[in-house]
Amino acid sequence: MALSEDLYKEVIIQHSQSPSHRGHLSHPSVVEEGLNRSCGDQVEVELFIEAGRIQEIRVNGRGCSISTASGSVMAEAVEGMELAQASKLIDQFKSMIVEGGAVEFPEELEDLEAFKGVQRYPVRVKCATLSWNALEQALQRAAGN
Amino acid sequence: MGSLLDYRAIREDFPILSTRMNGRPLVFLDSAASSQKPQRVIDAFNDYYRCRNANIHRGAYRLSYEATDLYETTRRRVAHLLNAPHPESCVFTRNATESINLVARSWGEANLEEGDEILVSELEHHSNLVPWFMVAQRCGARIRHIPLTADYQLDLSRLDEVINARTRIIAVQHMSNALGVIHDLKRIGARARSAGALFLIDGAQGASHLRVDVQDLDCDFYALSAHKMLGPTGVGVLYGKRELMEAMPPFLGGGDMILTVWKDGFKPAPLPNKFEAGTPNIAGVVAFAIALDYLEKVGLERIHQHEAALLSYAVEELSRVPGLTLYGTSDLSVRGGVVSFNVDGVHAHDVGTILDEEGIAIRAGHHCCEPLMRLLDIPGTARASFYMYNGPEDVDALVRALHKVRDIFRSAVKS
Repeated sequence: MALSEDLYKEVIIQHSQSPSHRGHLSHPSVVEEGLNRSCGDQVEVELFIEAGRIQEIRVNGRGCSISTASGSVMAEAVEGMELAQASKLIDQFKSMIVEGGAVEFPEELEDLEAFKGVQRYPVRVKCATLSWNALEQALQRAAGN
Repeated sequence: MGSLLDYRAIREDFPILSTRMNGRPLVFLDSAASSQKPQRVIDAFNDYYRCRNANIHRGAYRLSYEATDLYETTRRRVAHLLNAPHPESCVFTRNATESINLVARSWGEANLEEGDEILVSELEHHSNLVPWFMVAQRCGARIRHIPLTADYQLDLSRLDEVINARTRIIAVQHMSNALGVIHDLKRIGARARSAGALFLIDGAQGASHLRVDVQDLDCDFYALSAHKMLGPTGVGVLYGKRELMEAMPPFLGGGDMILTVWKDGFKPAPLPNKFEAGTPNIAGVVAFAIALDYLEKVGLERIHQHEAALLSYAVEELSRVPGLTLYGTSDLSVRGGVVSFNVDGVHAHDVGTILDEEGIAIRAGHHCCEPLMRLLDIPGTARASFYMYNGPEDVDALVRALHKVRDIFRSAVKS
């Protein structure tokens, strides 16, 4: 399969061109920044956590199509999730991208599968995991507070 | 495009250029990051380890004498290339970055005081910024910048605004790795002289493409990296005026940089050993001489003219690609073989990945020039850089691949 079909799937292009969950929360519980040192891509994840759930999430920043789309899909996936569920999803997504792990996502999260191809392009793995690493750190910080 | 160089014959000397990448012939357009190496340089490196390997300056046996002789031959070749009057004031480092760090640490810490000023430019590579930040922090000095014109050149009409009686050193690149601009070094150097400041040139992008004459430039220091000049990685050079280098304290301490060591102190060796502590990259230095022979055989003037012709062709062809923004001065007479661009609505890394699929190697990102990217208000650029082994067909391949980038991101690109 050509890279352009494997990596630049329609869903990734769409999310990168109109990312969702942009903007800022009025009272975030935690804000975490992620930076890809090698290319300068940067992301900021804001969470409003209440009753053990991510009630609201905002993802801002600038980066390539893979990192922007990944942040957008992530925000759609985890908003409303229980914290433990979100942590599990982070592990599953990263396992898929980093190790090529076989993960089946429920139908409502099938956009995440568009990133499967990234595993074949090691230089782009950091792009796809940038927002997820920031979310992971945000959750760890929230748990520590 | 007419060419002064038989680049097709030159390509035959570089084995990597006939390899395939992602199933396609490799189109290498990233020589500003590191040049490819001709077979004879690779052979020299291997031959050294196979037949001539011994430590230098130490062994009382023939093999060591010979290794020392080869190593010192490269020093004389470097001095010849730079027209440096004294070979011993050309010292080997790991790269241009280490050369600049050497000056910042050795000269800077010994001479800079609170309130002194270090002048750099808004185009500098991190390697000619961070060492100065570090020494400025230690000494209480201040960093100032030569601003850019709207056409991406250094605005030398504003030199007087940024130079004053506290300016101690002006540290400027020879040519911008991000935009390819070649600077008017003689004018900057003359201003440094009149201000009583030293003048350092970061020649990482200069010495591989342009004839360098350190006496004509009247610079105090010139830093370069062998790996951008057909040579091995891990070898750099710092040229410095002999009286300055002699007055500077050692940078790194250890074996070979000493004259005498007592129980409680040491006396440093004379140049060049004072700045070459420990066992250096002997094989790399030895092979670098072969790279310099190759460069001189092809001729730096001809290399520059070939790249200028390629640049002109590339700018013309790329200007026809819809939705492409080109960065860099419109005055091509002061530009080296670097084209920096962005495709509207597409991040440079996505451009780089799609080009890679076509076998085309370019650089994408901030090019270790984050302050410049902030000034331009962009996260980075895609950059194609040329060398003696590139031809117009490489530009054609680039243009074809950029149309593919546009197709994939079609809806985002404004035609």
